Amino acid sequence: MIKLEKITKSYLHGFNRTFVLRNINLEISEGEFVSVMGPSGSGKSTLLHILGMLDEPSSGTYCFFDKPVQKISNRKRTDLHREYIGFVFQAYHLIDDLTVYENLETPLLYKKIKGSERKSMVAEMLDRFNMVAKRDLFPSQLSGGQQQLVGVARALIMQPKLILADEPTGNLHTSQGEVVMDWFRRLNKELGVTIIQVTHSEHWASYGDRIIELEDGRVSADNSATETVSTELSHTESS
Amino acid sequence: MFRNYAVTSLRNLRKHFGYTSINLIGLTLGLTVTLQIFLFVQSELSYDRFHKDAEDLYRITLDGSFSGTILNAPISPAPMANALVNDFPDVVAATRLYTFRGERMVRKGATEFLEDGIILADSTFFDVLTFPLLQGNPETALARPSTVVLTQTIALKLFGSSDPMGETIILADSTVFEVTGIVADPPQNSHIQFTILESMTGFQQAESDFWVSNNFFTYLKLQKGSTADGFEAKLPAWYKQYAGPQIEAAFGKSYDEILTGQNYLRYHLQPMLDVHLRSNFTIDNQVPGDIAYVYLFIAVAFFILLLACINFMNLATARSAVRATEVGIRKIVGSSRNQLIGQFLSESILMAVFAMIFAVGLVFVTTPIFNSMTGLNVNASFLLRPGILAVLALGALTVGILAGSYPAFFLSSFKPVSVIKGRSSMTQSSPRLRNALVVFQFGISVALLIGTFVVNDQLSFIQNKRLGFIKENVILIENAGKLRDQSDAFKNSLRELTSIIAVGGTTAIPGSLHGADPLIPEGFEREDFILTSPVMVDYDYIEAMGIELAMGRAFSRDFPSDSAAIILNEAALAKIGWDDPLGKLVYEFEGTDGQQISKEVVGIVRDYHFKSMREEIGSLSLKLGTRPMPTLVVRTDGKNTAETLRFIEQEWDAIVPDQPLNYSFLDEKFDLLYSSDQRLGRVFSSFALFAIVIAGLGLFGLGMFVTEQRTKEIGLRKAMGASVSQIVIMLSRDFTRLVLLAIVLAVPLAWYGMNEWLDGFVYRTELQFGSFLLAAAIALAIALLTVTVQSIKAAMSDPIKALNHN
Repeated sequence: MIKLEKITKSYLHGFNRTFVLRNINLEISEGEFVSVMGPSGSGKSTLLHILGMLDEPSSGTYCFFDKPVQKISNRKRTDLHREYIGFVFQAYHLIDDLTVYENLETPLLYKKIKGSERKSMVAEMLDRFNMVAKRDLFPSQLSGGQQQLVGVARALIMQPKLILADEPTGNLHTSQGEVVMDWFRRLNKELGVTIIQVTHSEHWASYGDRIIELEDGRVSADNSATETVSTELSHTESS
Repeated sequence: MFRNYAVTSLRNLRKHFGYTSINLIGLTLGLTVTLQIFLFVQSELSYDRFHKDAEDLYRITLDGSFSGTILNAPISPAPMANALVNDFPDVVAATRLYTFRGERMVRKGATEFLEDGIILADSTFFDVLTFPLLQGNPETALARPSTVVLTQTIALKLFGSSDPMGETIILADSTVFEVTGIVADPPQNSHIQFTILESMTGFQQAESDFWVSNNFFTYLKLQKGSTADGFEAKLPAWYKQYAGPQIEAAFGKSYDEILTGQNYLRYHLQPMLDVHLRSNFTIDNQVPGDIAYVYLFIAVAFFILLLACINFMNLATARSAVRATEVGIRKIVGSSRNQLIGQFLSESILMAVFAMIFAVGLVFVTTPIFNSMTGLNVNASFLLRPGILAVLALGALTVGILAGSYPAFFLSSFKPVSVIKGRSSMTQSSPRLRNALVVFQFGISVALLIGTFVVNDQLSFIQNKRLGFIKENVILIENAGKLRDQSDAFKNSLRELTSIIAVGGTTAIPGSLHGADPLIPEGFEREDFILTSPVMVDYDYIEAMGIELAMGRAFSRDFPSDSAAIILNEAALAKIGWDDPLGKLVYEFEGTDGQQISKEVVGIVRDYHFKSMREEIGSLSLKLGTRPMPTLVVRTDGKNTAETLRFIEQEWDAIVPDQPLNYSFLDEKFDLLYSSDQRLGRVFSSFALFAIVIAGLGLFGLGMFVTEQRTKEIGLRKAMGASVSQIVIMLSRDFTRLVLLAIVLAVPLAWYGMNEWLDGFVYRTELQFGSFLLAAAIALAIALLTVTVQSIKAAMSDPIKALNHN
């Protein structure tokens, strides 16, 4: 599904070039649940943005379903977004002026889905996330966890093949985080949605099947999660 | 999808109510001015279009010059209309109008009133012009002598509900006229206005065959497809063939000998559709509009609307950081850039639609004010016609796109990554463009303010300039002709009252129309005549008007020979060039056969402004009139005008009980000469007001935004010990610089434009440094006030709160 070859990202600061990502080679297949970890400034978010086509690499190739992303026109890229990719952010990023219902509806509007179908899709999401009673509230009237659930629901409503989550639990209490992560796991297992999340915490990382560690813009480790199951358990016990 | 946009927009607009109101008020004001001007322009451009085949209709105009005196008027000789139809197959029909000066009495039984809309018309009136007859036959209505066609309004006034056809009315005291038709009231956008059409048939002057005197307004209908140019070229030779022999008989020289060098006489065809807006004649049968004002107003509307749109752009881009997150999210959930542009455009269009609705409502409120300010008669309900509503909708769409396109392109260009990362510096629009727009707004406002002050300067210059006569405390009696041989008795009875200082009579008060007669000074060749404006006066006129004598004496009852005396003004004397004019003779022509009579110069009056200050004081001759004067001037001590008027009325009623006294005041009458300038002054000042309010609103919004943005900085500075005034100065400095720049740019522009306008006056004020200074000061004051209020608020706020901000 995703294939990165020699991806580099750098910025020019005066006469100095600062590297954020250096020579990343990565392959992610459909149905994986990947956690990207690393200290601040290691390039996790930049990698995620490049994967989500929000940012462009300075060099290297990125193939999405075997198509080189760099060669895709802006319009096609928007189409790819709509079709395949859902985003979840640490800061939720809901539209403040829209209600829960309207926030969920917005991606469908951009996808030009008909009114009746739209209604049933939004209703189904609200139902699935237990938010029917909150459909007419504005984001500011919800708790952080609830807002993030709306964020997840919004990402999900387009039935994406890939969900990119940038520290989705970063602003949440642990119990709220659990709910969100449980959802990710269910989506991954039951619907086969590919999930790539960025996180600081080993605990949240352990929900994934594969952990990629970044350090100073390079992949320093790429482990299958089976080895970390034990740590996951101990974390759950301690929380 | 649109619902989603609309919902976001409406909620966003509501949430930021302050900005929304600034935008909405600005746009509404801008649109109100634009709509008002649209109504004005529409009304001006619609003149005379209602005539059938209006583009084939023409009015004959004359322009000529004799010894340096220019004559330029839409008048033509009596026989011309018929001769044109007979000699040129291109002329389908022609009709003449003749207007009386002043009002005439209309009577039917016990109903009587003065009317000034009585015009004489040929029987061909309805062939050329389209004024639908409601009753009567257009072919024959004006064919017989002593017949009239009444407008609907006059018919109702005279006859009520009974049928006026075949009934009679009395005009001008004694003549009986039969009503042969009822015509619809002329539409307001007709330059030809009348209340009663009197048949020209039988009118002596109309049957004259004299080609040298021009007293008629002639209208032609040309064959479809024939051009006025080709036609005009044939006119000089054609005219000469008729007028040549008559001119030779009158002046003793041939047509070619007289009309050489500086002297010329040309007839032109003025297209009917140009008559209202492109007429600039000394004599006219209409109060013309001015195409220059139409253009000027359109330009002003454009600029004011632009100012309002700039407000919208500036505030939208300044506040872009607020919307940036939304843009980023929408892009991430699948919006394309075009969809975002669409969203922001629909937001600005929504705003423009609201503003348009408010503006239409406001125009209904402002139209009466505009009408009274301009003396025009525009009708706001025109806006509610279905076709016009469509135009307005289109207008709102255009304004929405104009105001919204830049912010839309700007906002939609945000990269979602930078938004999500919170790199807000990337989402700020260039302050340079915003600053340029503020400079532009204030430049326009300053220019308009300067315009206002200069127009007012010139108006007060006119008011205060020594006129050469005293216009205050003079009551005019304008239908004094009615007194007939009782005129002297009436004048004498007025002199009894102590509050009346003098009573005089004349044929033409300053400011009214003055003709031009040739005068041959003693020792000059016949063809070296000078043209002077002749005014007949009585013995007391010069004293009553306060006209000063430069040499010699005024007319006096002590000199019985004064009926053969003449008084000239200094301008006439300068033209003749005599050093010692007293006792010299001048010769005038009398009648059509060129007979000369001599007059002795007994006095020279100082030049006084008997015409508008747009024109130079020309040559003037005062002669003693033998017949009762049509206008009396009554100089009073000005102490108890009401009492004096009551006395005059009482004396009047004793002599002519059946005629109402028709009086006015000289100063008011004279001021009418400048009514169009005063109009311009008032319109200018209200536009300037609108412009500065809109610009001020914009600056207020920007100030609000900048202060908000710098809350943290202000808090920090205060925490470090900055005083309130230091912070206010810091915040106001940038805007002050912009406004100063605007002033620097606007001043030369306004200087040039207003100098051009002043050059239209022969007697003009100089551009006052003070006007420029005052305009600059006002702009600066408004700018500082709007910004400072907010700066002070910010500077006074608690620094702790500010630092906790975000």
